[in-house]
Amino acid sequence: MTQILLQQRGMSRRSFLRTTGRGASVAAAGLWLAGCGATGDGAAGEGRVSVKLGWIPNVEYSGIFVGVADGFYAKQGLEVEVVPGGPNSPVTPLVTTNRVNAGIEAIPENVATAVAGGAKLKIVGAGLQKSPECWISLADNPVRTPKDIEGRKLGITLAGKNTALVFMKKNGVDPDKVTLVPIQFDPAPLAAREVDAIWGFASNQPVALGLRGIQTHVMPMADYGFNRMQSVFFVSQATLDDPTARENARKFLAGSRQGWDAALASHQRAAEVTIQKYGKDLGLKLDEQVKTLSAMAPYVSGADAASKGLLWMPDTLIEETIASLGSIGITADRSLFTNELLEG
Amino acid sequence: MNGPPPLGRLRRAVAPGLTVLALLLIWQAASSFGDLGAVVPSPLDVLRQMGSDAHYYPQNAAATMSSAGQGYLWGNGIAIVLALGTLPFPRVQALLERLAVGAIALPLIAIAPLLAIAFPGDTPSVILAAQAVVFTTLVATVLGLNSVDKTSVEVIRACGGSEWTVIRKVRLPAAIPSCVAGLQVAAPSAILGAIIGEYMGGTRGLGVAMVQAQGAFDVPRAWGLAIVTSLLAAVAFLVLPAATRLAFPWTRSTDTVLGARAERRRPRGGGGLAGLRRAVLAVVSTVVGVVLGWWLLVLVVPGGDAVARGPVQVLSYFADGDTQLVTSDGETQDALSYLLSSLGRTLVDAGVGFAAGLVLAVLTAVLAHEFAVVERILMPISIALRSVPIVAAMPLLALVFGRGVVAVTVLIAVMTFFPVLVNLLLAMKAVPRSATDLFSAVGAGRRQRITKLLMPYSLQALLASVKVALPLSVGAAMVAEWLATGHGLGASMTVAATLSDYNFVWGGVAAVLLASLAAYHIANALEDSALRRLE
Repeated sequence: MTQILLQQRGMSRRSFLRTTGRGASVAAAGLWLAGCGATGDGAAGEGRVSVKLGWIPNVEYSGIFVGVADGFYAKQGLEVEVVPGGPNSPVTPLVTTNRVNAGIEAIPENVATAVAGGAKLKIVGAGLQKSPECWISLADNPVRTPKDIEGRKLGITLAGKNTALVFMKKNGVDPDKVTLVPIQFDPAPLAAREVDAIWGFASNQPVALGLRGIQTHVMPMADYGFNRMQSVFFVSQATLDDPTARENARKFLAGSRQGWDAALASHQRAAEVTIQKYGKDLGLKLDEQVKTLSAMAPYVSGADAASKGLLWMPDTLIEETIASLGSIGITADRSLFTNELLEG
Repeated sequence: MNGPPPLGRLRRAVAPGLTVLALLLIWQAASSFGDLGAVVPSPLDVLRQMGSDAHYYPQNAAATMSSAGQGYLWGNGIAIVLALGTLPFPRVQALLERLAVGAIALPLIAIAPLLAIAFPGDTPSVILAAQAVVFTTLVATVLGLNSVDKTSVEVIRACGGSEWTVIRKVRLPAAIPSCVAGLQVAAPSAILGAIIGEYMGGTRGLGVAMVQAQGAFDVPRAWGLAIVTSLLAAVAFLVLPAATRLAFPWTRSTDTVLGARAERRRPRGGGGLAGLRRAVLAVVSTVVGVVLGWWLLVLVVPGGDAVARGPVQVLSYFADGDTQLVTSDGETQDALSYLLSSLGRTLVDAGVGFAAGLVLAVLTAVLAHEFAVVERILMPISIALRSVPIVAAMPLLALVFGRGVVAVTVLIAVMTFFPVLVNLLLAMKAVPRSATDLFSAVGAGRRQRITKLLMPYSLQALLASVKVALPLSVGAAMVAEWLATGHGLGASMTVAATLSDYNFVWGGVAAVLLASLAAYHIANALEDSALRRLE
């Protein structure tokens, strides 16, 4: 094992050199583009940040969309380019290789494993202060406690398999008494009663099912020893080390905070902005987006939000995240996280 | 065949019309049938949703068709150029076919994220569309170029014609029907490839719209999108032969293609020691080829460091490493044994599915040839099956077929059935009218005609189809494992990819490639020995 780690470190130094080289050329190209883009306005075109989303552009990212629409980035002289994601769409490698300046991963595991593999990345903000991950069951066939899942058929995404196994072990559930089947992100297997419960997000599938008149019961992971921050904002160490790039990233986070504040203040408007500009081709539906945002809002604001503001990662949350990652075999320490861009 | 009178045309439309009606009735019944209703919306709901979605189909369909079209041109262009360009060099052609096998057997789940990292925008979709067509077209074209009438070649040679004359006068005209069949099969495949590219991280198109609809549990909308996709695929499938008939009217007289009586130029002969030497040579060259290609790929993939792992690195990982995948005991898995057990499972799945798909395709082809009505009913269904991404249809399929061996078999059969069926039907239709007439003149029954005429004539197409279907089944098995069972390489590579355990992913890809190539070699050897016996 150590041998492999060493090897990966050797690898990463090489890739780091190469990455920084490429980074310089990207930065040069960025300057050139900025020169072309400055149309006397002055403010726009000073800085540019591209951000890769972990999912399709819907209300889950409305804070950023509102930030653009209300000029929270433009006021600071920052232009933000949104690169949409999707199922199996990689985010971390794009940040590692400097294709984009910032990334948002739904789960911190992806960033942590990349860092364990030698990538130089830092998590700089927590979009969700509490994990919305949960077991979702039908209201008339509810899974209320971890023990309830014994003898049941459960649908998980393959990406969540490790987590599911560890969750069972922690809560004294015998994995041999549980049937795990792979599902994708859609809740159809649950609605059709092919499975008894699915692994999902409290802000997604229950809302989608509820809108179609299917009532669900939700058992949050966070209540059973598996809480962590989610929807994490992250950048490369190279970005933090370079004064200009760092300043752009700082402005991006500042604008995103303001955008999220505005989005939380009016779910309706945030949903409208999302639908009109970013989700146009997707045919997003307004009521659905408003309800999703409302379900998501408590996870965005968290407990500490009042004092330190959105995206801030309190020490307790960082500790909890490290412990949860550790329990699924992913080593991470405090150096993975930094609030420095949020401090000013 | 020649221009049926209006009444006849009307009568021909009865069967497909009735099929559509029957399907609609089954659909309506299913939508009101207990839990099935949760994933099967009523036809009326879908129609209503399609009405209100009409505004967003054009831009999404345009994005998908643009990727599919580009991929179609690239993939087929490459395949045809390769087939023609290497015509005088059969050994090079055989090598290229092997490379193409590699292209088709590459597991999507492993390469889609790689493509998304390496290329911006719609390029991954274009590449996946091209990848979906290059192999089938190459095999079909090579088959056509080689399925020539031996006597025609001899006549030209006897008259002092050069190899070039043989190519121009015999091989090229003979290749057109088979090549067109390949291009026809490729049309829905390209659309499916593009949609999968979008589904796995695109920014726009029908695949992305499908992700949204499924995520929001908007079942009527997802079905509407599936219908639009199927219609596009059907149009693409039907437009091509019509266009070809206009462009090359002579290809209708299929009597020029004499099926199995091909003049083959593969080196052969000598059993025993020579055969063994050839086998060893094939194994060694394949392994060396894969490793060399792998090494080169890692060097050229842009941004590859993030995910690419070279052969040396992966070997040392498997020599003494653990995966990042945990077992139900919470322990990490030993990499090598996990890889091998996963691969074994995948091969069993692929084998079962392949056999079922092949038997089904042969039976269907015979039925469709004997009863035109069967073809008219089945073609639209199999086009629809071929054009809707399995990943979108999975919740319904799991409900109907479960997630066990039946589901795996059905999924693989769906994915391999179509190209085999099209190739076989084409070959059966190419049986010379004179031979059929002879059989009826001597009063031979249908069974005799099928076993003594139809099967021998379509044997070469069948064997070529096996070459296509075997590697396809391996890929299909992994899709089934990823989506349905959660066992085998398809699932373990998916988990490894999400955990950034790229050493395992690359090792898995290499294992799959070698297995597919082995399958291909076996199919090739089968083809050789069968054809030798025929001559």
